[in-house]
Amino acid sequence: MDLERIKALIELLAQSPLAELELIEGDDKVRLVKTPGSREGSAGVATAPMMPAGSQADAQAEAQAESPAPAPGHAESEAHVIEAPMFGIVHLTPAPGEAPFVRVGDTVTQGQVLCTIEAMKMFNSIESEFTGTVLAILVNAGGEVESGQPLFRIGR
Amino acid sequence: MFSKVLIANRGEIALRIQRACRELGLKTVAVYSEADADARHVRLADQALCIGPAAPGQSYLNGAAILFAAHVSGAEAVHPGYGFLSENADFAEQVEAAGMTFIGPEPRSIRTMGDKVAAKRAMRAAGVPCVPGPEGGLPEDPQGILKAAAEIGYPVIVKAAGGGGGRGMRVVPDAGQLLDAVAVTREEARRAFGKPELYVEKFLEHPRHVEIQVLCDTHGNALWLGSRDCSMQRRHQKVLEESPAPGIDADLVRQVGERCVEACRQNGYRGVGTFEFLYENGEFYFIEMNTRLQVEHPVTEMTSGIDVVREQIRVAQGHALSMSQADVVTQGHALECRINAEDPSTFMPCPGRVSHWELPGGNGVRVDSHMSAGLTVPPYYDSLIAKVVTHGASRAEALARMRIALSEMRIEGIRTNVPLHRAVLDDNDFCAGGVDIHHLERWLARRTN
Repeated sequence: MDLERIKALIELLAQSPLAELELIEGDDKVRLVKTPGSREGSAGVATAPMMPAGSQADAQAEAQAESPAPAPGHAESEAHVIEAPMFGIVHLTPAPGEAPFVRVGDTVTQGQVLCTIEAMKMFNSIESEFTGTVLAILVNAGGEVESGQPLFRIGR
Repeated sequence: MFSKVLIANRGEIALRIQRACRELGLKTVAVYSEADADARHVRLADQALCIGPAAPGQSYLNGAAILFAAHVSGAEAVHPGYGFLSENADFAEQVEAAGMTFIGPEPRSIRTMGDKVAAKRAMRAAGVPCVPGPEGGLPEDPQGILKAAAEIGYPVIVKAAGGGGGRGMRVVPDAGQLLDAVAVTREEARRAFGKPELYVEKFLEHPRHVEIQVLCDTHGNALWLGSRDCSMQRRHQKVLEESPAPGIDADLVRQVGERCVEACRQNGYRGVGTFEFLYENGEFYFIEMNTRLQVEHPVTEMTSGIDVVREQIRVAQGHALSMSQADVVTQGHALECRINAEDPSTFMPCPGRVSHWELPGGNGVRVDSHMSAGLTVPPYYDSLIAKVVTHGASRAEALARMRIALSEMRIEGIRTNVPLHRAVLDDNDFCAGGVDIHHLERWLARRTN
């Protein structure tokens, strides 16, 4: 995606009432987020070649959306994202047919296992880096996840 | 006699088997999972059929899907490769019941060797040296268990009859811990192998892993093709193999090889197989037999000059072996480094897309691999992506060629254990030859500290 194209998207977002805009074209992905409280027209920009369906861009955009003075009382702004540390197959239950590690709305503590990622017959436990509430599960059980892909959103 | 072979495997071994088939003028059928649609052996096959999703349980381990693919493609034989269904006696039986040839031993041989107690009994009968211990399984009563271990002398190792490949075993240093260890291992065996039967053996503390390759036809001919040393292991997984096993008296190896061949004749074994031994203080002790082609077969091919896979297929076609034991002359020394997609220090698996792929070459260098730049190493299967094999007139020459080969190798986009192999090839003890099965783990522990 060339710079001209991104500039045009920034203008489009600035003139619209939207808070964020995400565009995926083939391997390219751009996500624009309006910085809260800043004047109309300036948008936080994060772009990255979508390595393997990667989400480095996502994570950066997320961080940018949150870091500048989050709106008080807004739960979403306190959210932290747990990312996949590796490419693999995500499992949301300890074994087929068993109850999931966590459900949306569950309270989790730091170090608690949220899911496992299987790669080459090895199962790697993914632990919560935060204590908080599971706001969203961003992946499907049994699906492939790329390194850096967001798995869970945890609210503090 | 069959002329069309279905290859029920993936990765480097599927390509290896396909090459042998093509050399013999046989048509090949590739079966593949959705994750392997871009594989080279799929592209090069005369026919290719997708048999299911990426998960092995739904594709490469799905015997019914493979049999159906064999039926619709008109395949007359099935080569199982290694892993997956290669040592599944029921699958072998189903292949034969469907009127096809299973390129491997008879189902009853797979079954006998899969039961470690039965295997040991068969080996003893043929005069193959075994690890000291009572014949048969462990009794249920505590007194009987204690008596069996006491007669062997501690330390002992308790093993599951249905285990193998390093699974389902526990070392017991003294009588005080024996009954607990037996109870735990029995429960594990019941769950993991569906068979609680255990047996007990003397635990050897510093053995080497030495194995004998055999090749048998259906006309009563059986050959042994030299020894391999696979002592360089991590968590019971072989990392680097060589042929012959260095520093062992050739007469002793020959005697053991002859016993192996005798055991094959007595048991009507057909095809290729490997007798695995522990070797300590100048003695061989049988541990198990693998009733299939092995990952490390190329080192034997390099030293014996015999194409093990081609001969395996030919004997499955019913041909008699065209050589005798006197014709089997091994020359020089060969090494194999297993290149895995994994972190060289943490050993975390590292699937992903390979961006650069440059392979070594030259005199005495062979690379068996299915990979190339732009392909993805899927996370569903094991991490082996290449086998680098070198051959030299001496072990020193094979080592020198391996060092050069690995220095040429360039893989980017994923992490591999190439740096680990490079470091191991500079280890004085390994270079001297004859290290035991714990050497690599000790070396890794020292490196971490």
